[in-house]
Amino acid sequence: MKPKPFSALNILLALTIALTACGKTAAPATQQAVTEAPTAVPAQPAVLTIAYANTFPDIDPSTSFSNDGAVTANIYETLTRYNAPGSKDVLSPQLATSWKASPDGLVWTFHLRDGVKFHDGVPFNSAAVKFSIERTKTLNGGAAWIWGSVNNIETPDDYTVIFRLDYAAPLDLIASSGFAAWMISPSVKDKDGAWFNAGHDAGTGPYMIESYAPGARIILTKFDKYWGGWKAGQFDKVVLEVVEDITVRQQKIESGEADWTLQLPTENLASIGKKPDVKVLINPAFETMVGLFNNKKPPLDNQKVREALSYTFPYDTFIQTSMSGYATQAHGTIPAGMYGSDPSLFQYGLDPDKAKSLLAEAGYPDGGFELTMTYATGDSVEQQAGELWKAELAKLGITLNLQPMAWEAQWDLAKGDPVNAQDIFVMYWWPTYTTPYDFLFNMFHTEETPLFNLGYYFNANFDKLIDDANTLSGSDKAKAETMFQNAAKILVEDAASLFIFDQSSIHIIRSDLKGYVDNPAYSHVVFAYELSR
Amino acid sequence: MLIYLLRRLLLAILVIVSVSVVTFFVARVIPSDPAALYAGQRPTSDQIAAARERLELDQPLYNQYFRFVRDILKGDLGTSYKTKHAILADIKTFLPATLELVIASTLMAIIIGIPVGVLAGAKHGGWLDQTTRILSIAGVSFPTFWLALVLQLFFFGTLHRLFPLSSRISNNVALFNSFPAVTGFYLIDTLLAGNFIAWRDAVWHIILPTLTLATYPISLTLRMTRAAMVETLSEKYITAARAQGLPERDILFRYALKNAIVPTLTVLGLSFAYSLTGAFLVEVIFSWPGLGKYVTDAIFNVDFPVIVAVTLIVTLFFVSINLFVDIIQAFLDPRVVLR
Amino acid sequence: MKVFTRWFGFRFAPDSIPAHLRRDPLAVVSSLIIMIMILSAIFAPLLTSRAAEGLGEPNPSEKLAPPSAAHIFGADHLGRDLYARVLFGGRTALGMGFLIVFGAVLIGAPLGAIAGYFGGWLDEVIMRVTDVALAFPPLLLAIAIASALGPNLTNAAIAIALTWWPWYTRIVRAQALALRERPFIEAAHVIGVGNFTIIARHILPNVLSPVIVQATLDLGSAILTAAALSFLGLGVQPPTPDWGQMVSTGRIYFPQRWWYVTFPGTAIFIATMAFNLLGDSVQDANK
Repeated sequence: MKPKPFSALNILLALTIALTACGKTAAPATQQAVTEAPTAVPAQPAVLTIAYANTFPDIDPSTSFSNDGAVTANIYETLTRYNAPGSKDVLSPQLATSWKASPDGLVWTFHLRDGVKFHDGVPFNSAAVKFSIERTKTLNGGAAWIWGSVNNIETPDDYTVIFRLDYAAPLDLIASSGFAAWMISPSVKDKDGAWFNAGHDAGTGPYMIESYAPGARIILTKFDKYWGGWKAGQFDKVVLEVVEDITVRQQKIESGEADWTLQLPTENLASIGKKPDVKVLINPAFETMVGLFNNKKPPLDNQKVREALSYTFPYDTFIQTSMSGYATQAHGTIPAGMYGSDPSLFQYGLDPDKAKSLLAEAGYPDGGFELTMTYATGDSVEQQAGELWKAELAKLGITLNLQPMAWEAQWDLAKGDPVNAQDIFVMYWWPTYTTPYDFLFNMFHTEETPLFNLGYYFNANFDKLIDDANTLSGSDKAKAETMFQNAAKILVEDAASLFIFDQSSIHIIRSDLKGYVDNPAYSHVVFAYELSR
Repeated sequence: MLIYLLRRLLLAILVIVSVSVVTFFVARVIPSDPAALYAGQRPTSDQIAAARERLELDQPLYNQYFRFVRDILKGDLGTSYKTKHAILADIKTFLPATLELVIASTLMAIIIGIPVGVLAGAKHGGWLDQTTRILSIAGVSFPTFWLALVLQLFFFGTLHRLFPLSSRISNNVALFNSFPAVTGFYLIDTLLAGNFIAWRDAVWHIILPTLTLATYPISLTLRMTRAAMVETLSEKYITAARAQGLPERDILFRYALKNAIVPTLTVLGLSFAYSLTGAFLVEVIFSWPGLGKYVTDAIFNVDFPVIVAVTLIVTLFFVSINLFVDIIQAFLDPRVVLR
Repeated sequence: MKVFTRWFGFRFAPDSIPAHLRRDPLAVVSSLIIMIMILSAIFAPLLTSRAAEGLGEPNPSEKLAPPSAAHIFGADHLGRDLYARVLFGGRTALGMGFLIVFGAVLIGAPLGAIAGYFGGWLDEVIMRVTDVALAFPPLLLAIAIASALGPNLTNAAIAIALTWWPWYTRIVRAQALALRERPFIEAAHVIGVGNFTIIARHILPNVLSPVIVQATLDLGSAILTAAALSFLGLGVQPPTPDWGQMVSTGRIYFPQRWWYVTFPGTAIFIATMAFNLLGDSVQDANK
């Protein structure tokens, strides 16, 4: 296993196992001699087939907040776009061409792209922006809360939008969100979620819905009048297929029936990557797994015990065994490769002796207590983490009870009285829009009634540090980054949580697919417009 | 006769009402927070509070139940907390896929189970009887989900072009040979559209899941037909028919089967109803977009309006089929009524 | 899953069975398999040197090892010996099967005895409730109950038992109806023994033996249904070994690592088949 598949320069490493395994024999992008499905007739349009593991529960662009983002991202567009790691700028223009914030961060002005039309022919303008965001805010579903700071939207002319905020917020980042930030045609003002989920759309994006068979597939067809124009070689049709069975997904990508897929068994990736027709892409994902310690309930209210437990988790074994090495141990809560992450931050390792002496200091020389860990039912990675940890803890006389629960049930338990709550809450965290504040605030900022701070970590100094950093991040990104890093360090020193691993984003694509760039800001989204064969 | 049928009908209604009560309350005691589910993936406290109010979750349970019944009587099965879709619309989408599978496997049970059962019963104790005895017992002992995996293993790799391992139709047909979904039964829709390429494709896709699902009903039908045949063939009128020198084929399939079919019918009705839930396991493995996948997702999310609605719909089928079988039975064999 | 044994096996004369069964080779074979299963479940720790792994201790260095001399069934995703897992899984399977039929008899038998003994409106009410309960879609209800109670071994067993009891109510009621007319019951009644004492002392013990035989034969279906729940993730949770759960996890590594689903799956099949074969033979013997 490579200790860190991503360099400090933040360069996107789309490395194929084939390349690392057999040197220069691969270079597959230039080889077009891939056997295609026998049905390909010259007159037929170019089709891109994407095999997803889950259904698309909600394709209403205002409320979509799940893997349905994979659909909406090809149909709708946002004002700004978060660039893949390694790009020059963090953001690039999409439906907005330029934007700027007032010095206090309370007024944001966006200038819009001219000549853009929605699929239904309605022109895109400032009124459409106002309509889209207000529709999203009114429906108040999904990730609508990202617009919480927006007090008022003004439209001085057709191509200028002014946002007035109640409190400073990085609106340029928010506008790039993969959820709740899509621009929607004002012609749908009477339409509800059911209309969208019946297979209708109202976007400006390069593709439109041709047909929708819920639970099976969505077929997109290109929008001829797309403002970006069309070049030869781009795909005419996109099939987003739902293939829940892991075995069948693997077979589809190997046989060429699918061009892109995800979530194959990590154990198989090495052998899949050796096939010349297929590439395995491994990138950082802005997603981390934590085990939130219950900071309010004995014995985990004792920092020594939390530290001791941090020394009992078999990080390396777990990553090797359950992730086949395709993950890295977390450096605190901010995922590697993201703005605000710190590769030099201290990591706890498996050290039973140290754990034992810490436990002795805390008054538990022979363990002798029981802990309950809850995790989401059916999540095999979380379950394996629990099974491996349980074995390590048993050696120190600590019993770990593993309790799978439906996510809402697990969450409900944690939101109640901390004394009756679980001792360890295992979950993943990813940002709604890409900022370290999302991690630090949601999981660790003091809350009167806990919402996501489910380890009940209360530290006023920490709160102030991240709040200040967040306000500062609009004007001084470098200084704010140091402050975010310091905040992350406090959490590690306090052993506020078990910081387990940073997820890798693993996608398997056909070698003849050109132009694919993985963008962790829009996880598991394939922007079909950028691709060709 | 009429009284008998009325009794059955009353019982059916009683069943449906009890199922609605039981599932409603069972689903409500599941430790979870429906308001949080409704509010979405990562809601704010305000969103959750708004959801709780909107869903009237603070109301007493019996009030919620009456509201639920009132909505059903108005033809509204409610909305999913997870997706906010109208459940009735979802069921209209997913039910045909499941029914298609269940009907196909029941047909397979009739086509294979009855004739083989007749022959096995005719030569009571013969080699066919012995072989089918073991095979049919094996057939009811197979874990459906495991059988599906075994079939997948067999047809994995190059053989998957012979029989596809997932979905109802292939992408190419959806792209270039699409057909309007009129009934939702693809085998019928394709024929209505006169689209034989798509029809062939749909047939190919349904074979493996049907085979998996049919193992149980085939075995059941076979054993029941055989048992009924053995009993019927020992009756005097058969001996009389044999003495008259009627051809054996006529004796078996015209005279004996007519009487033996009654208990077989009961078993078929039962197994059809059982297959409705059995299909759930098969759908999960063959990525068959039916009711089973729909409800298992709902169970993992504790999306209880969906759980309750699907249970009700399945019960409705279950009960109607049993009622139907009872009626047919009463006509075929009037002795039933006296029991 | 339960229809099969139901349709073929509810009339019993247990005394006449063994003699006939000895002549039926399938009965002998299936009884033998069942005995082996029970014995290997009891003596599981003696039959493997990797009992700790069988109970759940991970051994990551052996992850997904193919079948070999060291691991005759291969190893699972955490390196545990699958032979040991399947062996200990037999304990879970038989234990759950037992819990399910025991629970169902516990609910069903007294109700049946009361209905049969008292008759009248009580009988009518109990039997209508039974009819209603039988009309529930069984697997679906078990799934709903299991997820309501939270996924674990006991809850899954309770969920299934709650859908099974009506079958036993019917058997016991039929027997109790017949017993009611027998002289010794009437005698007890005449000398002033209370109704519930009669049910507890005279009815239940007398109807119990056919019920126990039936329950034993139902173990196969019970194991199969429990495996289905575990496969859906609503039954036994790891690290407790369970066949259905092993097939469910092994699916991810299938088909390259065929051994992971094959051995536990075969175990479910053999266990269920053995009980069903025996049930079939018993029913044959009754003809």
